[in-house]
Amino acid sequence: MKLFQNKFFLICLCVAVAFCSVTSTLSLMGYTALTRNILGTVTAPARWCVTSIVNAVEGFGRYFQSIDSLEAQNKALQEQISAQEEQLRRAQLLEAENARLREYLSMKQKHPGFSFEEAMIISRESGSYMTTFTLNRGSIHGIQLNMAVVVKEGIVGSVSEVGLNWCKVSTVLDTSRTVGAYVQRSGEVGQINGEFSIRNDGYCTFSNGQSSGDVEVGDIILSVGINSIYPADLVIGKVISVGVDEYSRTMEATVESPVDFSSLQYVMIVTGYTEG
Amino acid sequence: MAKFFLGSIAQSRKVILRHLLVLSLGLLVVSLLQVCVFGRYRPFGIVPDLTFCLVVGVGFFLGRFAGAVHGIAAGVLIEALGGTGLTLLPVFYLFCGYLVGHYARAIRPKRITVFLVSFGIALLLRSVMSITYLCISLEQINLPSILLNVILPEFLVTALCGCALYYPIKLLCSLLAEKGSGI
Repeated sequence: MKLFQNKFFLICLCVAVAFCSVTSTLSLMGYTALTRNILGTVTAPARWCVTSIVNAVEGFGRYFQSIDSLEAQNKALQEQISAQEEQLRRAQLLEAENARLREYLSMKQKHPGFSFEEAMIISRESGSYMTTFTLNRGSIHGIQLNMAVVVKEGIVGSVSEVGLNWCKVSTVLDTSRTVGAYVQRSGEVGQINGEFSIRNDGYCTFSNGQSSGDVEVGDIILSVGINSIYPADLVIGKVISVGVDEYSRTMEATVESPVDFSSLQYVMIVTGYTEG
Repeated sequence: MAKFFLGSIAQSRKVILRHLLVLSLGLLVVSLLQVCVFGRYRPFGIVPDLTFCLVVGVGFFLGRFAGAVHGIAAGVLIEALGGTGLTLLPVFYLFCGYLVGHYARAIRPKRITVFLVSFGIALLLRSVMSITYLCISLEQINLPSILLNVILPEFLVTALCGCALYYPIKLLCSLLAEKGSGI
């Protein structure tokens, strides 16, 4: 106990005990000790500063935590959007298929004697001399040479080459093809020919081999059908101008096909028909 | 008197003032950390007693008189900032600072291992004080529960903080210590 027999220590101990006694007694009586009051008051700004810093740091951390959660939320939403976009894409495909099937149905209703084979255009001509395209149907699907190819709007062309699972179609705009046709209004008979100069605009010519004919602008040209590869009364196009061929001096009408060949995706191959 | 309080390391009034200023600032910073930061974010549900670490450290590095004075000051300050009801800490810190300073006075150089041993013994004393305080404060006491949920976590967390504060305290004390004091 010699360790504690020290004047300095005893003074300190007295001070400490006095402080503890006074403070504890006052505290138990419900009062605040003067030292506690003074120290609490003096250190209040410092405590406020430290707490503010801690709050700021905590807020900063919370900001990054919220960024993390927002990133996770964003990722989840992006996945959701991707899934919905996929659904939408499927729905659009189904919608397109539905529209195509409706066309097919309307054509079947319009031409009950026809039998059709739906086909998709899988490629177009590689050169610029022919107006042809390739379909994904061939001999194994029952496709034969010279079968008519149509869409709801009218005649597209005819099968010019057949492979095992593909076939090539020459359009009515093709210069190597001739189609027997007549004017719906007047019954004027003639033939449709392709022309290099106008085929890229979707036009072809109607001529009857005579110097004049009953053809007017706006007339609808239909297929003749008799001894032809095309069934009768299919729309070939509409007359947009009537004139005279500068070489043969015969009547020549420019006909606009109703088919938009550039955006064509699906067609119907007429695999068989009975004349009405 | 101030020279007497701070023991042999104080040489003049200027030096004494510097000691008081540095130690007060250190004590204030540590107390604020304990009350404002660790009182809010309690590691393992416990507020580590950083002022106790500082008192033991000052006693260890600067001697028993500095430890004793610092002990009283720390006890008073921490009671003022965060204490309620019964107050025992000034007396306890006084004893700890004084005893650690007394037994560490002859150690040259002052290594971390010696500090940790001293600190561990002081922490054991602190645990005894905590149990005593709880026995006085609480009407019913479940000793195993208190040991497991309060005393042991407090011991471990404060020990960890003591390890972490060793070098900062050493740096603080090295500003005040005499040449050849072993710090």
